[in-house]
Amino acid sequence: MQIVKYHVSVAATLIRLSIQSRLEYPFMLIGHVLANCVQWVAGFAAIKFVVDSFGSLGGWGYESLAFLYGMSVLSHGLAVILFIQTWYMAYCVVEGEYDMFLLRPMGVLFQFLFEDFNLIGITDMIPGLMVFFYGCAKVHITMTFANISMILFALIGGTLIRGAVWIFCGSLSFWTKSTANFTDMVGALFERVSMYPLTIYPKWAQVIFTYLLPLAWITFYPVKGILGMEGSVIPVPMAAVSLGVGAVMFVLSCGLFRLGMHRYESAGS
Amino acid sequence: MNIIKVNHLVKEYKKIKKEKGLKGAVKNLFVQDIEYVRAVDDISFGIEKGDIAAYIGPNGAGKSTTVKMLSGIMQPSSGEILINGMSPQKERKRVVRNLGVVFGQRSQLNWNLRLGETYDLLKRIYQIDDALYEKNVKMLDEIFQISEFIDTPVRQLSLGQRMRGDLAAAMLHSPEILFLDEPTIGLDVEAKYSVRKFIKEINARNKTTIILTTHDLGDVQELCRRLIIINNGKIIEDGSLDELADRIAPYRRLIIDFYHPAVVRHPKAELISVDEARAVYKFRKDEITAARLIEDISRTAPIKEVGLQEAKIDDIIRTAYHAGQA
Repeated sequence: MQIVKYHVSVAATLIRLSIQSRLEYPFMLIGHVLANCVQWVAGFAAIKFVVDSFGSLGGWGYESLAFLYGMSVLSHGLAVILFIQTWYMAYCVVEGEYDMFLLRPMGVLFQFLFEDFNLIGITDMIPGLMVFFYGCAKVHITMTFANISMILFALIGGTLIRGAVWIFCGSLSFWTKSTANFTDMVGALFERVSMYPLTIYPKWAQVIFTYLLPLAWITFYPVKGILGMEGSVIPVPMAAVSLGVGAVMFVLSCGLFRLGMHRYESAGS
Repeated sequence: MNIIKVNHLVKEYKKIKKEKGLKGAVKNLFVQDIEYVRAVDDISFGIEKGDIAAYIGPNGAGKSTTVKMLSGIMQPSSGEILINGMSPQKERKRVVRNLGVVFGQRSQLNWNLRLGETYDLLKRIYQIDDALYEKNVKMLDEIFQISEFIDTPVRQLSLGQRMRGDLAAAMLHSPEILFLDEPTIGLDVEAKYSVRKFIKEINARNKTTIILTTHDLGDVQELCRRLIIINNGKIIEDGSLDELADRIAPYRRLIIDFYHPAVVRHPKAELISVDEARAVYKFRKDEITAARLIEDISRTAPIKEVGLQEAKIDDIIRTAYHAGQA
C-alpha cells in the first residue's frame, strides 16, 4: 500500500510537471489541434467516400466503420498522451539519457514513462471524440453500464497494445544501438490494422494480426463484440479479451526493457 | 573504514575497426575487425568516510567510466565495487538512496520549469520528509543563495547558477557520498569559487565523502587531501598532493634580491639565473631548508628581499602523466 501511494505521488508530480512544461509553449498546442483535426477528419472522409462508392468495406457498413474509426483514433490519442516518449527510446540509449533515472532510487521504466506525459496528445482526442460520438449515434449504441464498460475495456486494451509494441520496438535499441527505429513503420501498421476491418486483408494476414502480432485486438475484435456482430466462439466478451491481450503484451514489453537495461552502456565522455 | 571500496575493477569495450569507403562499409557487414579496449584496467582503491578525493587524469583516461560504474550506471566487465558494503549494480536502489551524483556536462533539472519544481519532484522520489527538506534547503541557501533563483526557469539560469542548482539538487536527500564529475567545467572565477566553497562546507558540516574529477588543478589544490591519478585506465599515483610533490618534483625555487649586484653560489643549491641584483636558486627541500639557505647566502652578500616558490601543481601533474605513459 505504501509502495502504491509512493508511486502515485511521484507519477502525479511527473504528470503535473510535464503539463506545466507543455504549457510553456501554448502555440504548439493550437498548431496540433488544427493539424490533427484536419488529418483525422480527412481520413474519415476518405473512408466515407469509399463506402459511398462501393456500399461497404470488408463487409462492414458505413455506420460500423465510423464507430471503428472513432475507437481507433481514441486509443491512438491515449497512447500518444501516455507513451509518446517511447518513440525516442533509441535516442535515449545512444545519448545516455537513462543515466539520470538510474541515479534515482526508483524503477527506470516507471520514471521514463511518466516523465513525459504528453498533453499535446489531447489534440488527437478532439477529432477522435467527434468521430466516435458520430459513430455511436449511427450504430444506435445505448449507453448502458455494460456497454460503457466494454468500450472502456477496449480503449484501455487498445492503448496498452499500442504502448507495448512501442516499448518493445524501442527496447530493441539496447541491442541494435542504432538511432533508426521502427516507430514510423509500426505507426503505419497500427493505422492500417485498427482503422479498417481486418476482413479486408487476406486470410494469412488476419491470422498474423490475431495471434502473432495481435494488432487486431486494438479495435477490430472488441468493436465486433460491442456491436454484437456475429457470435464469437469464446464465452468472454471480446473487449475483455482485448484488455487481457493488452495487459500481457505490456508486461512482456516491460520485461524486454528490463533485460535490455542490463546492456545499457551510458554514453561517451 | 572504507565507505567506498574498489577491487580489480575492469571495463572493457568492444571497438569495431571500420574500414574506409563504401567497399570497406560493405565488407564490414560480413567481416568485423573487433578490438577490445580497456577503458578501466584493473584498478583498486578505497576511500574513507569523510574524505575528499580528487580523481584526475587526461581526457579519455577512464575517469568518467569509473564514476559511472561507481554510481551504478554502467556494468563493470569484472572486479568488485562496494559502496557502504553494497554493490551499486546488484542493489542499485539502496545504493543510490545514499548517493548524490552531478555530471558537470549534464543536468537533471527540468529545463522548462522553475528550479523549485525539480526539487519538489526529488523530494517525492527520495521520500524526504518535510522537516529534513526544509533544513536542507535552508542549509543550501546559506551556502549557495539558491533562493535568489529558485523561482527562475532553469533555461534562463546562467551556467554558474545552473551548476549551483544541480549541486543543491544532489544534496537534498542528505547523501553520505557525493560524486562530482567535472563540477567546475566552464565556470567563471566567481562561480568556481562558490562551487569550491560548497564542497568544503558540505564536507565539513555533514562529513560527506566526496569524489571529484576535474581538470582544474586549482580545485585539487584547494579541496583534496587525497589525489588519485589515472591514465590509460590504470591508477598511476595515489596519495596526497604533498607526497606526490615531494616524490616527483621535490624542488623549490628561492628568489633573492641583493642590495648590490652579486653572484653568490651555494653547494646545496643550483644558481639558475642572475639578473643584476636578482638571483634565482633551485634546491631540494630534503637537502636544505630555505631558512638555512638564506642565512648562508646573507653571510656573503646583504639581502634586501626574498621570495619562495613551490613546484607548480601543473608541472607535478604533467610529470606524473608522462611518467605513467612511459
